[in-house]
Amino acid sequence: MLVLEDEAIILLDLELCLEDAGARPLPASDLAGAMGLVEDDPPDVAILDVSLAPGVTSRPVAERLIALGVPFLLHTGDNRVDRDWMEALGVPVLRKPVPSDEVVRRALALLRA
Amino acid sequence: MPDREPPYDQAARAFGEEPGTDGDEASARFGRGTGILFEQAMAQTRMAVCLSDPNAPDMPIVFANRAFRELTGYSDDEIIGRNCRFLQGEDTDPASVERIRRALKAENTAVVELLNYRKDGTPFWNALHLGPIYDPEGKLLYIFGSQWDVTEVHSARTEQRHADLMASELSHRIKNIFAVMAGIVNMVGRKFDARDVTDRIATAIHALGRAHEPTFGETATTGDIDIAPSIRAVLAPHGDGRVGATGPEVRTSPAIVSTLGLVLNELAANAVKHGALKVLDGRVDVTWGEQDGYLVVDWRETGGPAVQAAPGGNGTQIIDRLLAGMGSRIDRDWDPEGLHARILLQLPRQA
Repeated sequence: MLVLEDEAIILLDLELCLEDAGARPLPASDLAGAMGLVEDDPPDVAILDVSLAPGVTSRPVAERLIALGVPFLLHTGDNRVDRDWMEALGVPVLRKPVPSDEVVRRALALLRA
Repeated sequence: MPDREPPYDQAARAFGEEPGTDGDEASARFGRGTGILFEQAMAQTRMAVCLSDPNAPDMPIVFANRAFRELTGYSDDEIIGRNCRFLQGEDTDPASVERIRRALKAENTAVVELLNYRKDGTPFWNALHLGPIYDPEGKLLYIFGSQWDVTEVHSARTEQRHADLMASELSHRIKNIFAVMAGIVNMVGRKFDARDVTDRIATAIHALGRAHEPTFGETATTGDIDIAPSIRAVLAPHGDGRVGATGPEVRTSPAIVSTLGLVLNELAANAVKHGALKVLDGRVDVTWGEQDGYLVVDWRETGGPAVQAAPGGNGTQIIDRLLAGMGSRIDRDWDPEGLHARILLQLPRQA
């Protein structure tokens, strides 16, 4: 599972929760890293933090995943981000703070859906 | 403030009359007094007004009233005969000027906000209203312009935008901090194999984050908050739709948000573990209101396992003491149908 998150501690916590759940995390902390992972070997499912840096969102990754048919959810704490495109994607949006176990559970549920 | 010429003559000139003579169509229609009425109205109004002649080269101003002179700091002989653009300056947005130009060309009415400059160089935001004035035959006679100094409105709007941006940024950072704290707690739990304890800490941190989240935007501007969205946010993740939350807006200080968030989280956690939310048919209904300086929150569990005794526990003791410290309390009634609790939370008195 791809996990894109710019905050190192949250990223690590999500990784550990994924391992607890028996999944293999592919961590990325920025846009380029995530795009690289997606192109190398598309994941089965992904968790994307939305706001990565001032003015940078994970939107390109989201659009690439849609093109590849990979399910994902958005995990965001930023209410400045224009919500329209997030809603237009029609994917689950979890608003931080959400327990990491819960984020992982919801992401894994996408796999089964 | 002496005018340089008798006011009626100035207005008469603007209307194409020879001073002191009977004149044009307007006079014919409205009578000899038109010019006088016009001038008196223009002198009285605090709205700055000018007229420009669209038929003369470079559309010069042919009339400006007292308010126009006071607003801009220029005298009549510095105004009459010049194109309005002398009010523009270094930071005037060319896009605004372009909107004016287009309106003039199309003979449209328009309101354009632009930065203008007084004679002494100080800038002001001008809400310029402009429009064409036609003679009875439909020939374009004048361009009417009224100027309104909206600098204060403008800076209030700018400050509001700035405050909103700050509040959003703060909200984002604080939510991130809550998520990071919960992450650290989880990691410590893994390291010391104490997930049962750290899960409860992380849950409380998340509840706090949710309780505060709806208040971030408001506090920055007003100082007080509506507690209702915080109550709903804390309860939302519990019970998969089996927790009702109904109550009015209650405005108070953000100081009570943490306490209320922790108390409700504790009640919800207990309901899941021992109470109504332990079974599928059980539910909790939470209602609240303001009464005599207290926020009264009513917590009623129904449909759960039969209640036998009052389960004690450290969590209960903590919330009881937490509330007592704030001149508040929680009363529990162990109804056989389910727990019925009433929280009386003293509202901080507003300064």
